Order: sequence, then structure tokens, then C-alpha cells
Amino acid sequence: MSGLSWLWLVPALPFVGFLLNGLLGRRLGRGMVRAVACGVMLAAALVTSFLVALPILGGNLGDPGEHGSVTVHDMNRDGVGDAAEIVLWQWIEAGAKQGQAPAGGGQFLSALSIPFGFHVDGLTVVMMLVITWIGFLIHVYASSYMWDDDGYWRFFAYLNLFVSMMLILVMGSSFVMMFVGWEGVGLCSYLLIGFYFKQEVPPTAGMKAFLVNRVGDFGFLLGMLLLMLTFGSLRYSELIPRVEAAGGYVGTNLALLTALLLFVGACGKSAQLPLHVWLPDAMAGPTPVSALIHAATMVTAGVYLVIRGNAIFQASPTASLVIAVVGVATALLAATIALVQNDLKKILAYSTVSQLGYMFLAVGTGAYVAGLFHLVTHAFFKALLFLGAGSVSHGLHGELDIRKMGGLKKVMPHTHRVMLVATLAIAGFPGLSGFFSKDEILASAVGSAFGPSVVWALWGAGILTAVLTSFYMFRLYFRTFSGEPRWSDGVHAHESPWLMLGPLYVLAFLSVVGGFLNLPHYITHTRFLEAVISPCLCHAGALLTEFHVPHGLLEAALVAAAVGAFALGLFLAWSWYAKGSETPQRLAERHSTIHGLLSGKWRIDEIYAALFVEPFRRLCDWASSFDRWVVDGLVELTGIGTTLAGEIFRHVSSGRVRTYALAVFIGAVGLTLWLMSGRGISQLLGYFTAAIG
Amino acid sequence: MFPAELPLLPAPAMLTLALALFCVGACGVLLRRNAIIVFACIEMMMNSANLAFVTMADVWGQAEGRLFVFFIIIVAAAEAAVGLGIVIALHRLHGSVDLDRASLMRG
Amino acid sequence: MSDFIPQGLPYLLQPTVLFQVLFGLLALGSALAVVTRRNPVAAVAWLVVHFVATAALYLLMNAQFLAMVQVLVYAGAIIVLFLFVIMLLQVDQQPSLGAESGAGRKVLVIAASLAFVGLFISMASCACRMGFDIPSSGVPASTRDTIQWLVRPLFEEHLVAFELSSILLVAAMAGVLVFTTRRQAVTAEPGDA
Repeated sequence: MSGLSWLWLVPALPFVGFLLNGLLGRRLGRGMVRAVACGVMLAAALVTSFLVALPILGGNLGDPGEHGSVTVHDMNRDGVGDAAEIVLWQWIEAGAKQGQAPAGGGQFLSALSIPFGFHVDGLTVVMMLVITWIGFLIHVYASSYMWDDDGYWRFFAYLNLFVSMMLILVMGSSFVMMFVGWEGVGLCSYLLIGFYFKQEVPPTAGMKAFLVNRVGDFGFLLGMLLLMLTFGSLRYSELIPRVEAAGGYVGTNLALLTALLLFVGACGKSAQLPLHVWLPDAMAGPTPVSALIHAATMVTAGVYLVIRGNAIFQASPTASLVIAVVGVATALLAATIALVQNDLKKILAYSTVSQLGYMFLAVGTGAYVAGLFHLVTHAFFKALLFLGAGSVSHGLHGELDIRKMGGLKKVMPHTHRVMLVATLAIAGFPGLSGFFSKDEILASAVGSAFGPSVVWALWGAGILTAVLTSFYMFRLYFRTFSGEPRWSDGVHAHESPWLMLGPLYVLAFLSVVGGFLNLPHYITHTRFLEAVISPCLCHAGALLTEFHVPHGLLEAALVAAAVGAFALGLFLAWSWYAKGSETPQRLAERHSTIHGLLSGKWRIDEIYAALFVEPFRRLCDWASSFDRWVVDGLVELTGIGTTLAGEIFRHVSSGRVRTYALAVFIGAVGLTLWLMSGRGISQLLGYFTAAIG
Repeated sequence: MFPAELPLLPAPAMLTLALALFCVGACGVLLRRNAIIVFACIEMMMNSANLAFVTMADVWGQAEGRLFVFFIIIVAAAEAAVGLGIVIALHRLHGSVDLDRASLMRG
Repeated sequence: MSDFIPQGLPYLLQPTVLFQVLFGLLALGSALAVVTRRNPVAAVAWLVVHFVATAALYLLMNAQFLAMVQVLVYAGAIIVLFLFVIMLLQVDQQPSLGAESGAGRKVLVIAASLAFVGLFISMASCACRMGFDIPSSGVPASTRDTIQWLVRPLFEEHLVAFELSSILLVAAMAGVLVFTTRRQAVTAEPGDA
């Protein structure tokens, strides 16, 4: 209990690291910067593990109610405390005070009160553990990988800030707090994608990521406002019970709109169709950034949002179906693009988009546990893949084109070993983490509450994606590590230092055993993740009550299909790439249209350019010419008028003294004549007569 | 010096004389190019003003009328000194006292 | 004193009136001469005549102090200044700078003449409407004669203005010194230093 009052330390520690490195980093020196950055991460990870995770995962939060600064909630209403909330200070307060009747009426209309506080439960703890521990490993890796970079301290300042913001995102006690972290990680993502700001591509990619995310954030904000209007609060501890208790809310258009708007936000952050275009470009950032932000943590924020707000999404099964369809479509589309890419990191980026699509398929079908499960295992093996890719490019002097690799098995034995593990894990080798999580997602798709045709369509697309995943991952593996070396001249490939390999081995271990977090029913019924996040789920929701876990023959068939998908992809990749077959070239030449479409990323960037960028640019051109011709024209007209007037009147100023004198005299005479005439003269006469008389 | 109550010309006659002198001086200012003569004409114009002041001082029986003549003479002396200084500077600049050549301020 | 003046003479033949007319005409004539003489020395000489005639007019109007100041300051100091400048600059030997003829000059002459004819007519008509029989003020000539009548207000009510006029004179003197002194630094060749 007392440990939870130190909860604020978890985001505060990386923030202190950010302040130290950001303000003093230039003077501290690389060793100190490394010590600060990795130290705060280790401290945050340890605080998370021992002060936060132990009481919550151990289930000994105590009875619901206030315990000092910590309030224990019973979100599940089973009489056992399952979530802790700690309010640091009242942040935004407006409207009537607590206890006063609202003037406008309405069921939940009350004072707006948003505290700056944290809400931790099983879901939060899982996210926090992933963020802090994987974050720590990636920090250690990056401290060696980035050693020669001039912006060493700047890099770690941003990275620490990112971790702090990501923790606020998952720990925040309300959607507003989540939005704070949401924008914070967006900012860090922008800064880190554009980290090599002296090159041409990275800053543009950063801006693209930021702009595309704005579209999503707009939806997120609108969804939050709708929730606020409907339920009067954005605090999870108030909002979620109100949503669950709202009888007439389920299935309404309002519920659909709210859920879809929130999902637009999730789409932006998690790179789902149609807002996925920024993530592949984000690979312009340093590789540890790709591993931490664009694979393991930030991009999963959308999945976290859906799981956190599962009560809201379950209130609208239509919205959930939309999520599932978008997710599986993204998965399939990204996988097809990944088939033909040649850039190591681009392949992994599309793979990430694809795997995120799996997660959305899961949460869309109501398999929130499976979604979180895949989130965690994906964080393990995708971080490992990115870090391994970083190790490869480190050893090849920055080379990322898989056509110029090959034969690295002998030169980089350690990197090869961990990359093989990661590839097996993501491709779904039975027994490894990716196999269990992906299998659970596909099984959940079959068991979901939608109609049979929808269910099998979702499963079919999912299993097809699994085949493609297995294929493109092994294509990457064979092209990189086996065969003859195809390196550029002058490249002396070498293995990376142990400071980089250490985290790789840890992640490889996690990729292997990650599946034990949530073993399938046919192995054991002690499912750790399910038990942990079960209190966060709305079990009365439409999706969960009608959820049927496949059993018996059907389950066995599904597992067999998953294994078959893995084997098929592996066999194709092995026969085409491991032995240097001509088949890929032949296929590409025969179906050049399809190949061009795939390597052109389905031309989505071009479509967006034509639909949005070009009209906007034309609008800008129009505004620019309006400014140039009308606004500037008015200004210049003033100038021309002044010049013309000067041209006319300058002749008056002849410089001849006597002309001026003449003007003065004419004026004086005119004045006198005016005085002499009419009223002037009578007045003057009046003076005279008065003086005389 | 003279008998106190001698008949004199009426005030309007003297004013008309002052006006005539003023006009003659003004014409000189406008028509002559020689800076020295222009200054002489300005002195004459002031002189005509003095004459009008003295006349009206007698008409209204106020000493200030004559007093102002005194001040105007002071100003005229100062103005003559400054003006002739300007003429010298002008001559130094252009080698002549032709006012039409002092047209540097032409727009 | 009045038996000094022969009685029964017509108004215009009264000696004071006669002298006023004569000196008035002299002042007018000499003014015309100042404007029309081409030679600046001659013009300045006519200016002396003009000032002396005016002084005589003051004298006839019982303003003896002003007449004296007029002669001292105008006919004396200022005229000497004029002559001094003429000699210093040797303007009399330069080509004549009279009212030359030219298109623009003609316009100027016509405009100036019209303006002053208008001015003269209007003012003169005004003076005529006043009538020529304005009596002199109630202040007796014997009072107007005295220097006290003039000087008492000068040193009582107008003392500040009187003192300020001395500052004006000093300022004018200083100003003339400033802009008539040759600036060696400006005119000197750089190599002289």
C-alpha cells in the first residue's frame, strides 16, 4: 500500500533524466549522460516492479476506499479492490462545486473536475513494465549505438522525455491525462524522427508523422468531448462505471460516434488505415527510436486506448466491427507491401503496421486479452528485430538495403542468433511467444460475436496475413544472413559490442518465453494476463457475453492452420531466397503491375497527395496570389498615390525664396480681404467706431 | 518743441501712407533679386508698420502703440544683423547675392 | 506759443500739415527709389532719405524719442551695416540684379501688382469709411510729449519683454558670428594638416 504513494516517481524519474540531460547534457560528457539516462530508466523500472507491480499483480490492494493518499477502487464490483488511484493535485476545475445541484439538469452533468493523478490497475502495470524494462534495455543498447553521434545528450534527453510521457499516457487517471501523454509522445516522436535534422528526409518525415497524428488527435479530442457531454466525467473511476451502468446507451448512434471518434485517434497513433502512412517514413529516425517508439511502445497506445475504454467500445458492436475490419485490412495491406520492400527497416516498419493491425483485429472482436498479449510479445520480438537491424547496419557502416547484405551468419554470429529467434517468434514458430499470441487472436476472431461469414472472413484475412508474415520475415532473414556476401566495396562487416548484444539476448529470451504469460486453454488454465486485466474489462459488454472460445476439433484445426501458415511462408521464402532462385525476379517481371503497386505502397501516398496535399497547395497558391496582388496591391497603391502626389506637389516647392514670399503675401492679402468684406469689415468697423465713439 | 495743439493730418491719411509704403516695400521684396535690396525693402515694410503704430497710438491714446515701435526697431536691428550675415554666407556659397541661385531646397 | 502760427490759413496750408504732406511724399518717393534703383549703393542712399523722412513724420506727431531712435538705429547703425556689407562683397561691381523680364517674371509682377492693388484698395476704402475727421485721443499733446508717458509702461508692465529683447540681440549677434565665421577645418585641404 505504502509503495503506491510513490507512484509518481515512475514518470518523474525519466523526467528528471530529461531535465538533467536536456539542460546540462552538453557539459556532463557522454559517460555522465549515459549514466543519467540509463540510471533513471533502471530506477523507474525497479520502482515499477517492486513498488507498483507487486501489490497490484499480487492482488493485495486492500479493501475499496481511501488509504491515505491512495484511493482503491473496485472497478469490477466484486467487492475486491482492483485499481488504485492517486491524485497529486486538482488540475482543471470549473463549474459548480461538488455536491451542488447543476443548474442545467441532465443526468451526469456536474462540475468539471480533472485531477492530475494516476490510475493503476493490471492493464496499467503490464504497460508500465513493458515500457520501463524494454525502455531500459533500449537505453542501454542506444548508449553504445549512438556513442559517436554529436547529439548524444540531446538524444537521451528526448528519449527520457518520451518514456516519461509514455508513462503518463498509460498511468493517467483520466482521458485528459492520457491526452497529455498522447501529445507528449507525439512531440518526442516528432523530435526523434527528425533527430538527424541536418539531413533532408528526417525532418520531413517527422513533420509528416506530426501532421497525420493531428488528424487522429482531432478525432480523439472530439470523442473525449462527447464522452464529457454524455457522462460528465473523463476520470476512469467515474466514467467507466457510468458507461457500464447507462442502460439505453448501448447500440445508439451516439455510442457508435463516440467509439469511432476515439478509434480515429487510435488509428493516428497506431498507424492503422487510412492514417498508417507516417510510420514507414518514421524509420528515418535512429534505430533505437524505431525500436522503442515505433515498434514497442508508442504505436501501441491506440491498442491501449481501446482496451482502456473497452466499455465504450463494447457499447457499440458496430464500432468494434469497424475496428476489427480496419485492423485486419491494415494487417493484410501492410504485409503485402512488406513482401517487396528492400530496406531492412522499411520491411520491419510495415511488419509493425501489420502486427498492429492484428492487435486491432483482436480488440475489435472483443479479445482484449489477446490484443494486450500480442502487444506485449510484439514489443519483445519487434524491439529485438529493430535492435538487431540496428546491429546489422552498425556492422555494415549504416547499410540498410537487404540486396547488399547476405552471408552475415558467420560475421555476426550473435546478431544472427537473436535475429533468428525474433524471426521465428514473429513468424509463429510453435512454442515461441508470437505463435501463442497470434494464435489466440485468430482463434478469438473465429469465436467472436459477429455472424459466421464475417467471422470467417476476418479469420481468412488473418491467416493469409500470417502466411505473408512468415514469408517476408524469412525473406528478410535469408537475404540478410545466408547466401553469399553482397556487401558494397570497402565494407568490413563486424560484430557489435557487448553493450549492444546484451539487451539483444535479454529480448531474445523474452521473445522465447513471452508466450508463457498467457498460454492457451489447451495447455493450461492459469492464464496470467487474463487474470491480470480481467478487472479492467466490462464483462457485461455485448462482445464479451457472446464470446465463444473455440474448443475441441475446431481449436485443433485452427492451431494446425496457424502452424501450416508458418510452414508455408517459411518454405516459400526458403525455396526462393535461401538458394538464390530466379523465381522472385520472374514473378516480378510477369506481374509487373502488381509488383509496382506493392513496391509503390499501393500508391496511398500519391492518392493523399492528389486528394489533400495538392488542393491545399492550390488553395495556398490562391491565397498567396491574393496576398500578392490584392493585399500587397493595396499597400503599393498607397505608395504609388503618395509618390504621385509628391510628383505633383514638388513643383510647388521650387526652392525660390521669392515664390514662397509671394505665397505668403497672397495669403496675407486674402486674409485681409476676407476681414474687410462682409462680417469681417462690419466687425472691424465696429471696433473702430467703438474705439472712436 | 512744437505747439501742443497744432492741426495734423487725420489718422486715416497717415494709415494710407503707411499702407502705400508697405506695398512699395512688398513689391521690392517680390520683384528684386538682389538680396541686399530685398533686405532694405523688408526694413521699409517694418518702418511702415511703425508709422501705423504711432498713428494709432495717438488715436487711442495708448503708450503701448509707441512702445511697440521701440521693440520693432530692436527686432529690426537684430534681423538686419542676421539677414546681412545670411547675405554674406550666401555670397560665400554662390559668389553672388542673387536670391534665385539659392534654390538648393528645390523639390 | 500758438501766436507763432499765423491764423486763418487754410487747413492744408497750416505749416504742420504742409510738412506732414511734404515728408510723406518724400518717404513715398524715396521708397520707390529704393525699389527701382539698380545700383545697391544708390538704393541704400535712398533708404537713408526714407528713414529720415519717416523720422520727421514722427517728430511732427510729437514722438520725439522715436524720431531720435529712428535716426540713430535705422539711419545710422543699420544703414552703415548695409553699406559695409555692400563694400565687403563688392556687389556694386557685379552685373545688375534688377527686376528682369521673362515669362515667369511677368506673371510674378502681374500677380504681385494685382495683389497689392487689391490690398491697397480694400484698406483705403476701409480707411475712407472711417472718415477723415477722427479726432485725436483725449491724451493731450503735452502728455504725449513727455518721455515718461512712453517709458513708464516700458519699465513697469513690459519690463520682461524689454529684458528679453536684450537676449534677442545677444542671440542674434552670436548667431551671426557662428554662420559668418569661415570654418577652417571644412575648407582646409587634407594635405595641410
